[in-house]
Amino acid sequence: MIDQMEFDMKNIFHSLVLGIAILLSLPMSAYANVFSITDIKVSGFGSIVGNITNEGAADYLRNAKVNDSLNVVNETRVGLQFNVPISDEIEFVTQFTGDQQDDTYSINAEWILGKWQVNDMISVRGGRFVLPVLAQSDTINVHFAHPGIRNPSEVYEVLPLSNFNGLDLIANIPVGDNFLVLQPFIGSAELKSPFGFAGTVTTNIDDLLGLKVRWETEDHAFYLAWMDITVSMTDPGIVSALVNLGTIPSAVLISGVLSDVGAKFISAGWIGRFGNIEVHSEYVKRTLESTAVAGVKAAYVTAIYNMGDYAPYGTYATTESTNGTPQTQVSYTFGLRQNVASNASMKYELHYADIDEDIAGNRGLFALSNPSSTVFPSSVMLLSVALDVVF
Amino acid sequence: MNKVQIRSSILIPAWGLKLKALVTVSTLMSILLFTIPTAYAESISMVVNSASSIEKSSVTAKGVRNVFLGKTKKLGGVPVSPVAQVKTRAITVIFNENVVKKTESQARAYWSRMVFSGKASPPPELDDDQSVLLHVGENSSAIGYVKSSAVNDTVKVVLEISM
Repeated sequence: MIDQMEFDMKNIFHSLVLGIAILLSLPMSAYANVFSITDIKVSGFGSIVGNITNEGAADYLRNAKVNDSLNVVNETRVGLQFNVPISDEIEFVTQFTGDQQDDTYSINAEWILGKWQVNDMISVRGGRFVLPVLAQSDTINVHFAHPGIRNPSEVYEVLPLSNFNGLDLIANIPVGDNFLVLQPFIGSAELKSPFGFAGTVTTNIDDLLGLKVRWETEDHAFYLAWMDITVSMTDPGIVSALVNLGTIPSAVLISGVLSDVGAKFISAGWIGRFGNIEVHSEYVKRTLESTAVAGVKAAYVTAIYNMGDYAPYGTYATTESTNGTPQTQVSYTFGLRQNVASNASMKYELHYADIDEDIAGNRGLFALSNPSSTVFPSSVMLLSVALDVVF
Repeated sequence: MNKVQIRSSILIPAWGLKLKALVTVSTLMSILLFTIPTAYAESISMVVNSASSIEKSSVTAKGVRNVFLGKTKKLGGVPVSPVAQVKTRAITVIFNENVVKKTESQARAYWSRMVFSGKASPPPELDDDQSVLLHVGENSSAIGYVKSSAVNDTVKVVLEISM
């Protein structure tokens, strides 16, 4: 009975989201006389990334999955975005990305949303879009917008969600010449292979509720974000993956170990500018009611020195599990961004990750993409070169 | 120091040629470096439609910055639609660096974040001062930037920014 009620509530919520998206689209007919194909704005982005590590026994990075063979495919992607203004207040945005993972080409709809600009300060978005809980999560695929080749995985892998279906509201409140931005959001999501697991484990995220608060001045931006979710992993295959990771002992091999598990994310960040120097820093903490998936806290700080078309940068990042015996991973990244055109940049990056092993044999949670591997290096050196463009 | 270098160039012809080449290159670079700021030493004017209700006293450089970064659509409490000039024009480079406080590459990265997060789009770009004056003169909510010497009666200046 309760299950049936929950099923109904999910259906009602999904119907509500769909309904709002449709409602947002209704004015299209009303404005058909002023709308034309020339109003559609098409923009795009792309990255070609070459990666190689000094480690042949185990793949590194969840998405990149690189080893000591040069790989120019796994982080290479292209994106296209269509902005369709319906009126001065209403706009549709769709964004598609294409990439290749595990010899499979795929096109993903990252964004399909309707946006209603209620007034100068408030906008409401409904549909499918990226979770806004980290500083760069909105544009996580647009590498040109970021100083380095990729955002620090220690922090950005803590939250394996890329997008969700739901609603958000953005209140952009001017305070003098500064802005206070409030962004509550609600929704649900379905994930494939979350938390770095290989295979086809499907995870359902429900009761997703969060709030991001941002304070923006001329040279600084601070944010705090909080999100509550309920996680269910329906595929029993997840359990063996968890055992291989060492996060649960085989003694707790029971079905439903991850059914409606509550989880919380909190994050904080600061982006500051001091003349030619920029500093980016973020902290995130993940806690779960179950010990089946580890709680994690992670942080990074990046310093960038802008000098014309060149911008050298360095990042220190760390992650540590908070369940049981702590596991840690620390990385140092040094790179150079070279703006080769107003819409293109080359980036050259050397990344070193030190992965500590605890007494139970567990390693840094986000370093290795193959959890069933029996070989775990204690450190990885990654060399990357990327060409990022927007158009 | 200069005397020593000049004397060396007399004694060693090869060094003299290098010195001359260095002086020539330095002179050319100085001309290039100082030409652009000189062209805008007169200042940049923010112009709105002559019928606009925006009060000059309510407009600040920070307010203009927020409009041109897409953070607000109002200036002095009045709705506005900003227009820029093409990125390659010197006036745009100077406006971005002094008012928007972003270099060309920072501006491009900023707008890529705004566009690809669905939050805002950059102001449309017009070809030159005359195009901006024409656009602003014909659109009651438009705001743009032009060289102060180009301002005519079809628009109203709400802020003058000395460079």
